[in-house]
Amino acid sequence: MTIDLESLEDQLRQRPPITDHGFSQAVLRRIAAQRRRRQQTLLALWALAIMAALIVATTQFETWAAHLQPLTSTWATHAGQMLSGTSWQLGLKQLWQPSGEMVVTGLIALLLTTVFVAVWD
Amino acid sequence: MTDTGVTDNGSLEAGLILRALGGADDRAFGQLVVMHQSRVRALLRRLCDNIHTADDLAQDVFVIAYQKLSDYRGKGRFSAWLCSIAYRQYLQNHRQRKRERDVHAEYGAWQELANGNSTPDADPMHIDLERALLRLPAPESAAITLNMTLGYSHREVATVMQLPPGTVKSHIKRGLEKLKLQLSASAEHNPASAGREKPV
Repeated sequence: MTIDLESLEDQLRQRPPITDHGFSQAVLRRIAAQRRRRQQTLLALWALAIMAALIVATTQFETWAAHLQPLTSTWATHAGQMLSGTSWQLGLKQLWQPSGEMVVTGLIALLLTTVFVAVWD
Repeated sequence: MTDTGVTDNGSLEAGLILRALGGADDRAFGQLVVMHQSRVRALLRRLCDNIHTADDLAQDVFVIAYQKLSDYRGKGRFSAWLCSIAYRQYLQNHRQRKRERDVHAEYGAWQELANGNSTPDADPMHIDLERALLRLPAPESAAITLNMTLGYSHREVATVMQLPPGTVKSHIKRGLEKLKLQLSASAEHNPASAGREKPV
């Protein structure tokens, strides 16, 4: 017994619709769970990175300050020159020198936070 | 087909895609899932020998689509884009665990179909056809399903399967020949169901 091509094609064209029956809800639940896991991982990584940065910063303050001294002095000199002649005669040199290490720590924290916010969602 | 009319409504679909982009509106994406789940699941059920595996894969497809929604550039139908993800997912899954073709798996698939999990009417001809489709190589089964059951053009099927249109046509032709042979052989073994095969 042979099957003719036409009836075979007719059968193939018949597609009983598949009802949703909670399928879309299951997909949305999976998406939400995946997002939650990702955010938890990111939060944990961010907290660890910030903690590591702070620990390193507090132990290395003096070394960094020594390294950064020439650089911050130059910045302070340039800034002082730029602002000279204006009414703002700020003690920039005094402001920059002790805060060099704080600037670096702040920059690291800012960088980590920026990365964290960028990949959050 | 219940979802075709909605799918053709391109502006509604485009609006939902825009709203869902970047995870801004999950409900919009949920609506897209409702609109297209039938097609994606139908394709995967034709390819997988187990409807639970097929539905799991279909969920994966929509999760991937959600993550890569920005990759959809509006070229071609959104449902075709989803089907291309589905086909790639199937191939990846298929490579990981070889298709189970032993008697038990086949019996299990038959049982599921006979219980009406896939076809509400559990027509014997339909069961034979589904079983015969499962025996085809994946590219032939996918090309036939995409073209004849889901109504995509040869060109669209070629895009979905990332094959030249000529190859797609050959897959369909070869697959149909094989199906014809298998169903004819099955009808000879079971004349009772063969009587219902050709409703006049």
